[in-house]
Amino acid sequence: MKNRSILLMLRTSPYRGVRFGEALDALLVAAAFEQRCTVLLLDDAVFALLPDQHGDVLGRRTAAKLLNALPDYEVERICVCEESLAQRGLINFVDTLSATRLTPAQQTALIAAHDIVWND
Amino acid sequence: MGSNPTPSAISPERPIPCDDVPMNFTLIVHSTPDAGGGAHSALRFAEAAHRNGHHLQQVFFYHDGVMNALASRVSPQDESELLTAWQSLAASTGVQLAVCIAAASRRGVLDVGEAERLERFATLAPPFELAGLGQLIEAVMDGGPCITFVD
Repeated sequence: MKNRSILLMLRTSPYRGVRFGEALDALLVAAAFEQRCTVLLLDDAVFALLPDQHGDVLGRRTAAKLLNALPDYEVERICVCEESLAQRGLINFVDTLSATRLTPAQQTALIAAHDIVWND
Repeated sequence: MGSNPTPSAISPERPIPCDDVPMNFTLIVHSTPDAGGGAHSALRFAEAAHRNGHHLQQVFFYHDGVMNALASRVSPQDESELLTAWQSLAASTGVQLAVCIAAASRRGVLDVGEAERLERFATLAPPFELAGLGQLIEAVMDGGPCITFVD
C-alpha cells in the first residue's frame, strides 16, 4: 500500500442533500488510514464556514461542527476559495476555523500537489 | 477530477493515462442512473479501459451512486438497462462493484444480511456488494488513477 495525498473539493451547499456530510465521512476514513488529507471549499460550500449554524433544527448534522472536528482526525488543512467568498459577500466575516484563503492560481497549485482529487 | 477533465486542467507533471502503459483504475460513481450522465460515463469508461488492456481495481458507488445497485429499478423499454450493463462488466472483467454500506442503507439499498438485521427487504442486485469506506481507501492506496464520476 502507498501513502497518497487526497484533496476533497466540496462545492455543494452544506444543507443541500447529504453530500457534504457524506463526502467528509469518506475523507475522515481516509485520514484514519493515515493518508494526508486536505479540504477545499468552493462555490456554495463556503457557507459551511459561517458561525451560528444549527443543523439540529433541520434534523441534520451541523456542517461547521463537522469541519471543526477535522483537526481531531489529523485533517489539518482546510482551504477556501477567495473568489467564492467574494461572490457571496463573505470576505469580511469572522471565520472561526481560520480556513486558508486561496486564489484560483493557488488552487491550481493545491490540486497539482495532491495524488488524488475527490469531488462531492 | 470530474468525468470530463479539460486538457488545460491536466498539468504536464501529471499526464493523462496513456494506452501504452496498462493502468489500474479505481472508479468512484456518485451519480444515479437517471441523474446527469455520470453513471453512464463511468460504465463506458470502464468498458473502454478494459477493452484497451487496462485493469479495473474497483468501482465504488457512493452518494446517490448507490442507486445503480438497486435490483428493483426498471428502465423504460426504449432505454438501455444500466444494471444489466454493470452486471456484464463485472462478469467480463471480474471487477468488484462495491457499494458504500452507509450511503446504501439510508437510500434503501440493502443486501440480504442488512435486510434481515433491519427487518426490511433486500434490494441489492448481485454481484454488487456492500462495503465499508475503508475498502475504497484501500483501493485508492493500492491502485493507480482514481476517477470520480459525478452528475
